[in-house]
Amino acid sequence: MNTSHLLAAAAAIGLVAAATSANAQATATGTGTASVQILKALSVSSHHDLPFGKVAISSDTAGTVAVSEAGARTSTGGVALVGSNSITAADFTFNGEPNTAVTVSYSNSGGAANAGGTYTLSDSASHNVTLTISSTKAGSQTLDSSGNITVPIAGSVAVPAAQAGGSYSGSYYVTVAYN
Amino acid sequence: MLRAMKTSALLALVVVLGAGEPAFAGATGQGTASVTIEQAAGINVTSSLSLPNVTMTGLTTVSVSNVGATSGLNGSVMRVVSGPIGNAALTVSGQAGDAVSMAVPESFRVIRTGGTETLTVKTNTNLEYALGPGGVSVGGALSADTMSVNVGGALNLAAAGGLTPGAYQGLLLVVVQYN
Repeated sequence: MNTSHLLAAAAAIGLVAAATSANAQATATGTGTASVQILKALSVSSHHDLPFGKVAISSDTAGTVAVSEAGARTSTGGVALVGSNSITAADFTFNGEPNTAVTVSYSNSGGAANAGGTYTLSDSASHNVTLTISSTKAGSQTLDSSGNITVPIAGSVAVPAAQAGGSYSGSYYVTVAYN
Repeated sequence: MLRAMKTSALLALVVVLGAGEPAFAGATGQGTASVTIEQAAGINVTSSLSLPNVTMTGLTTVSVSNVGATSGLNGSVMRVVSGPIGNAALTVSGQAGDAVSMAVPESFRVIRTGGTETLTVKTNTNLEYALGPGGVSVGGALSADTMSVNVGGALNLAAAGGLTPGAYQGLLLVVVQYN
């Protein structure tokens, strides 16, 4: 009986030794790959403002003055165009990582979204009119092989009837962000 | 406590990453829109141009100057029978301080009431700066928000062969616009 226990103990010791030997031979090295794509920071490289020129407003009929992405000026309702209709087309050019997907959107100061693209133009006496901008490049786009995207801007100003005469101006914002 | 501290550290890391991302992954362009709005230009007719009613014993020119003075009515050639005589008086309104131009036709036709015979009235104004083939151009800056313009006319009866007696009326069309 005692002999049997000793043999069993010896066998157990042998198994432990064998197990230890087996672990030393099964060591393996796992290889993982870490990757990161570093994109060039987006920036505004140039822009042209959006002048609507001079218009006259009816005393009893509201209207609009609009400038297309190509710079063509038109009016509706009680707005009459005054002076030249040759308007500089408005746009922004952004630069970033070539051939990379981005989203173009209208925004407010600081980049907060302005889904409707609606802004306020004011004169020195705090009279206001409403500007709405649009662009055929709004939404998902891809930067070209040079990393550029030019975003043309069209706009329309709604002028109420008998709006106070004056020079109105204000800011609008366009944001381009990587997807 | 330790667990709470770890959570705080993790949240802080997330906040830092969240704040830093837009500065590099997006760019916002700011543009300026501008429009100059003017009160609509208009014309108020204070009085119409009325040539005198005359009876003819000869053929001459009957006229009313832009200040209402008549000529061609003297002697045995022609005399005034009745009716009002006077130049047309117009008031141009618009944006104070802005330059406007007004087109007065060099001449216009009057048609005999109840008939088809026509006579041609040559116009003259108190603001006649230039006389072109398309008519008389007058203009200037609106010192206030109105400008008065007088229009007179002359009817060459001597050149109107086959003159048919009667009342003659016509439309004098004057156009004003901002420069």
